[in-house]
Amino acid sequence: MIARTTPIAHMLAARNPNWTADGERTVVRDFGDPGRERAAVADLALADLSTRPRLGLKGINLAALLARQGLAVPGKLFAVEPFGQGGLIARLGKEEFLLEAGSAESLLASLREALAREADAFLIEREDACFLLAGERRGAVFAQTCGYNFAEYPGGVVFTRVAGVSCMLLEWPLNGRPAWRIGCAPSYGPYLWEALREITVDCGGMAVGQDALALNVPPSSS
Amino acid sequence: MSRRLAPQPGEWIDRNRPVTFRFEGRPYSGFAGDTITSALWAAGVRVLGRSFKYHRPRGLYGLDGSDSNAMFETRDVVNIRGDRAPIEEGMDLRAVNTFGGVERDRLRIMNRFGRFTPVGFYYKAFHRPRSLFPFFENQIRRVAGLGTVNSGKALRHTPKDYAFCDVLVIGAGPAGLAAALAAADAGARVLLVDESPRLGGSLTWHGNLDDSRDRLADALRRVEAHQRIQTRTATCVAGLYADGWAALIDRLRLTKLRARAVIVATGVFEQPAVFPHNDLPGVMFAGAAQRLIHHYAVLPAERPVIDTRPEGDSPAAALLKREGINLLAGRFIARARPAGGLAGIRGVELCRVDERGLPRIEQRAEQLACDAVVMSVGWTPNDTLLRMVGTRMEYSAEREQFLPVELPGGVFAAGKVNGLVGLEDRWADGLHAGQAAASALGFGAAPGGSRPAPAGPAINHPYPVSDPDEGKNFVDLDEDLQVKDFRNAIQEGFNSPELLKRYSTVGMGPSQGKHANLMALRVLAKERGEPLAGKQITTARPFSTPVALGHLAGRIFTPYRHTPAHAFHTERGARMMFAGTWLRPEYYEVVGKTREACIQEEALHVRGAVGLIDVGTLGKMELGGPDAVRFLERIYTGRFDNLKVGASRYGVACDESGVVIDDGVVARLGPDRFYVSTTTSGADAIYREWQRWALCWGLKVILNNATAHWGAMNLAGPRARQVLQPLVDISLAAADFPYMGVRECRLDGVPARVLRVGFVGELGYEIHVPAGHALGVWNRLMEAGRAADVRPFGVEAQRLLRLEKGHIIVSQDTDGLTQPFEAGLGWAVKMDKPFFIGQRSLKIHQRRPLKRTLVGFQTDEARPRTMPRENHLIIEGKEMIGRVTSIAYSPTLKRTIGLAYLPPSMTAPDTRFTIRADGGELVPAQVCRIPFYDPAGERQRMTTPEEDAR
Repeated sequence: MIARTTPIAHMLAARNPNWTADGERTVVRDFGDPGRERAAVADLALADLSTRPRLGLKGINLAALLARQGLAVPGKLFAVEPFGQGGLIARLGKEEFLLEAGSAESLLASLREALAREADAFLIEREDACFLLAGERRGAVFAQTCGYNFAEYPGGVVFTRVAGVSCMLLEWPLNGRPAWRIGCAPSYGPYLWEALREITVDCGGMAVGQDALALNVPPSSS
Repeated sequence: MSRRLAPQPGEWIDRNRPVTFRFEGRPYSGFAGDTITSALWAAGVRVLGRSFKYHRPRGLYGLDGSDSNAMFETRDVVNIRGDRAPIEEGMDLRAVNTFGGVERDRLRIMNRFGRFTPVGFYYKAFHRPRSLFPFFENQIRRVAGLGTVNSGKALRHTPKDYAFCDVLVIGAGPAGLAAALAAADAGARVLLVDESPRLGGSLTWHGNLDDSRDRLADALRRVEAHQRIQTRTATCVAGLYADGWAALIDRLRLTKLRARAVIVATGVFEQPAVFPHNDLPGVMFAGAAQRLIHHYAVLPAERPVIDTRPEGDSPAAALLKREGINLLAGRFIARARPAGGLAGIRGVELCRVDERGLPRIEQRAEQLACDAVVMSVGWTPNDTLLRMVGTRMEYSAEREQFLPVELPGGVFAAGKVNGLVGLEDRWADGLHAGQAAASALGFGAAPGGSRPAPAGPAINHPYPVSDPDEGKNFVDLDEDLQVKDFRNAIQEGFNSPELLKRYSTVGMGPSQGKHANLMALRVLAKERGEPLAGKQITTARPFSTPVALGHLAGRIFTPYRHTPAHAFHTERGARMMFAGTWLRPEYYEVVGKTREACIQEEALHVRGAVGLIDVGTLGKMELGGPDAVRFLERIYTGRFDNLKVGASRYGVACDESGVVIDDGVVARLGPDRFYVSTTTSGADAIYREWQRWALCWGLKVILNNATAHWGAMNLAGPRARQVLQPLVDISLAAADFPYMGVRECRLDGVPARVLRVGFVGELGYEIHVPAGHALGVWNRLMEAGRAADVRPFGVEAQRLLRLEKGHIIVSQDTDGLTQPFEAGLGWAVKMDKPFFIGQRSLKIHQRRPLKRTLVGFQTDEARPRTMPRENHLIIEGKEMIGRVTSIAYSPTLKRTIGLAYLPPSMTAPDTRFTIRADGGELVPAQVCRIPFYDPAGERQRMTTPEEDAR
């Protein structure tokens, strides 16, 4: 089986990280300084979450369909509900949902299988680039890249532009700390990662691996 | 000689932190908190710069951020404002606009030629003889402008950013402080901005500070402690726009601020007294003298006189009298007497004034020896930002100044800008504005009572001008404009504020006329014998102060897109090119081979073996739902209701006028499921259009733009099947998977959509896989194809291969007017359908004769000496009759082939024509049938058992 890679794999590789396998995925464990990276998460840090399995869904009467699968379905437009452990289900339109697996990837796989049999469900591959901007000073990076007024954030998903790229933002506290997920089309991933990383570093933060996020990453393979 | 005073209460300098720097090659020192100007003035330096036109010596003038003649440059930074920029350790400064240094400026001779260079002289001179114009132009360009940009300096991105607040308060003087506190107390989030490095505005320097020190300290304490007030000092609001957008400029960045309400408490600017030699070092505003003393503890001069109106009751006068400065009473300065080399002044000649205070220069009075003149003849509201957003200002003859009379919604004014003078009035006005702004946003109650109104005698001199025939008296120090320049301009007919500004350039310098615009208007009114009331200063536009281009550029966000296989391309030495925002391999470089050779070898390899090209940039749309077929029938010109599941068909899309806008392949994955490719550059626009049409038509169709979420690659060439078959779980035999078929399968475990297409004219499989797996699949194909010698090929080879097949590229072989019949796409247009976009227009086109037709051609010479290029014209006699859209040398056919538009009368094979190539060379060519290569299409179909077996 060919492994799934993040759209910014080549950008990450250029920084000689320590990689690790996480299920079928290969992710950055750390960039060589796990101690500093863990500390940066509280202050200002950027991490790649792109390889998390996702599924897009469009169709007819999807809310009822998903509810029948036992899911907590977000009722309002742009609202978000948890999906499994650490996963999410976001309502992007009246009849459009995005599901992302957390640690239980099999849950999403079995859901995909079940929904594929439903005539009213239109399954969509979602290969979004997805980054996590964490830390108390995350606002300094957003201030330089995004014209959205976060003071008026109503919760849930927000569509706006970050560094000139159409993005989907979602506040997603990380172990109780403030953090935002920034999602975009995978083709813009390398550009957006580099733009955000450069500004994050200028602001005194750093890129961090999954280990710093304390997401139960298995031991390093390299 | 040091002019530094004993420590002053509240001074801004830190005497424990000395700073050393250089100016014009000499070492100086100051203290942290000093500006360049204050440090140099403290060190006894009087000549800080040279004027723009006459290169006259200039010193400090306003010390208020608008001293356009005290500008400096370092190696890397140009036009540093000395009256705002703090000194930094190790700075190496030069004055701008000098030739040979500020003291020995060789262009100081320009001062002697003033009579030959009146205002507007450059509009009238140098035009004849025409041949000499380039010489004069070159000379003017050399001497004009300010500062020298070091184009070799390292690129430094500035961090442009965004910010938000409920209420923006501009100006942190008493009115601004009161407004900020009132708005914040009401519950609004407030941003308080001031251009100075510290809050307090005029309370830090104007008049007797003992009276206001406690109030300032209390206000600052409350502002600092307030949870809802943020402050930004050393920050200039350079632009104010509709909807509360403001451009904030500080040393490092431009901030785009969005405020729900704006309070302008920007105070006033002093206005100059105009008399001969009023520009020389030592002549300064009273505000400058006070700032020197209070902020920087620097003595303005040894023996200054102060020219003030109203006489004696100016706070500045009180302060300066305390410092032993002469105060003129019942007199006006008729002229100043310059010191040697114009490096300062050595005295003033006075004249009497009439009952209105206007100078009577014919009634000369006494002479005074002095080394400085401190001017205090009036103020004008700093209303630039107010006027930027459409505030109506009117001149009050009673107050001798402009006052705001009508403010746009969400904008409030407070303090001196409203014509208020007394501290209590300004404070009350600030409170009123703060409450009004907050309540307009839903915070707190509206303010009770009425705003304070201007009262007391006018504090502004109506015409502080001494205009004898001798000496230069300046109105605008930025542009070296004298009273007589305005008089001349008015006499020439430039007699409105707008015309006067454009002819004389008043207000166009670095200070943007802060000290000059009102005086220019006064001169205009006087010359025309009209009152000032009813006249307007010219339109205010952003920015109110010069802003470095680097600040505007910021980090320069230029998004680009990578395909999933990007890493392979770069590692393999691909020369990348932009296709819209996508980066694509143009070709793969081979050491020792030219670009053309690389491209041709790639093309030949596809024809002879097998190649792999990244087509991940193609637009990819997914359609579903019960009305998907009906939707496609309306979007595309062709027929799709009879397209079988597992088959695909070429589609052409037109706009309502029948112009070709896109093409692609429509593949039917299921009864109600389609996968459609579009052009690379058209994908996003097409998707938007489709969404719009789906809504307009009310069809039950599900649309998804999958472009970036699926990677795609085209494996093409006679050995393509041999490479791909072992990796997929379906049969690729021609009988099982015919030309234009589509299959969903697994490729080494990865879900894939495979289309049998023939864009390059060979057996080909377009393989689409989820983007996250695309690089792995690409590498797997390269590895599996090693025995078949699979090689990557780039966009240029693909263009050549498709040209050999006569396949068009929409937007290269079509333009914004091309309809399908012209482009040879009539076969893809089914006019018998009930409806498709553009059908009505195409019916009209059908009834009319074609004006042009796309044809294939070949040049007479296999490789013309001058190779024609795309868009070169086809010439008949002196007429342009067509143009080339594609052209290339085909290594397979061993001749140069192309596509071109020609009149329909010239489309028969073998018709001859000429192409005008670069340099005007005419290249003969003749019309050919297309496709040039494999006209029967056998290679791409590969349907015979023999071919299947190969």
